[in-house]
Amino acid sequence: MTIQATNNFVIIKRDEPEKEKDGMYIPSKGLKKPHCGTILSTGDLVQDGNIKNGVGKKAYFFDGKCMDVPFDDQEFGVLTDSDIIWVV
Amino acid sequence: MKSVNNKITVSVNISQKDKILIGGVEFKTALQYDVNYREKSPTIATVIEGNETVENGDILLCHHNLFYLPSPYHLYDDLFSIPFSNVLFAKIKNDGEIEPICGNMICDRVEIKSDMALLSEQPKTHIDRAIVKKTGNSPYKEGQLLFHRPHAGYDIVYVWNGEEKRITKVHESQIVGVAVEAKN
Repeated sequence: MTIQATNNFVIIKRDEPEKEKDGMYIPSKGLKKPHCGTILSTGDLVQDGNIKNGVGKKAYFFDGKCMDVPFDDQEFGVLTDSDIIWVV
Repeated sequence: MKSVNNKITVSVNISQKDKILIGGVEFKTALQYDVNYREKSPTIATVIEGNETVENGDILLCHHNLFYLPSPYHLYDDLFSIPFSNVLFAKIKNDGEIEPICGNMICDRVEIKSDMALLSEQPKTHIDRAIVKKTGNSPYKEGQLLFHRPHAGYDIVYVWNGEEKRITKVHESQIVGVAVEAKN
C-alpha cells in the first residue's frame, strides 16, 4: 500500500539521514532529518508544473515543514506544494 | 423574504444542551462548569430560509461557535443568519440519519494497534487518518482510508431525541492523501 496525494499536497519519501563519520552513537530520534526527498505523488490542485511533473525527482523543502506519516511499515512525508523550494 | 449573499436563516434552541436524559430521567447540567465549548454549545439548527441545497424545515448540524452568545450571526430571539459554508456539517434526516454537506465527511477514527491489552474505554486513535463513513458530495468513497492534517478530525457532540450522540467529521480540504495499492 502507498499514499496518493490529494488537493495541493505532495507525498515524498524522505532521504535517509547521513551516518556520523566518527562512529559516535546517536539515537535515531536525535538525528536531524534531511529536508529533501523523492516525490512519490502530487495532488490534483498542485499549480506548479515542475512539482506536478516531478514524480520520481528529488525535492528540497523548508526545514520542519514535512509531516511524517508512518503507514504500512513505510515512512511517508507530506508537504504542501508551497513548502517546496527546489525540484532537482 | 429570501436569504442572500450565500447565507441561510435558522432557528436554534439555545438551551438544547442544558439537559440530557439518563435512564428516562431528565438530568440538568450546570453549564458554567463545562469547559468544553464544543460539548456545551448548541449545534442543531432548523432551517427557516434555505437555499437550493437545504430546504426550509431541514435540521442542520453546525459548528458550535455559530450559536455561542454573543454571536455575530444572532438576529433576535432564536433566529440566526449564518453563512452557507463548511461550518455547516450535515443534515439530520427525520430518522436521525446524517447526511454530510458543504464538503464535509463523516468518518471513523482509526485505532492505533497495540501489543499491550488496553481497556476498551481507552483506545488510542491516530491523529492523522480516518475511514470514510459517509461521503456527502466529496469525491471519496465509503470505507476508504484517508490521511488528513494532524487533528483535522472534529468530534461533534449533539443531542438527538434526548440522546447524546458523537460523530467525527473531516472536511475534504484537510485531506492530504488516500491509501491506494502500490503499483509494482
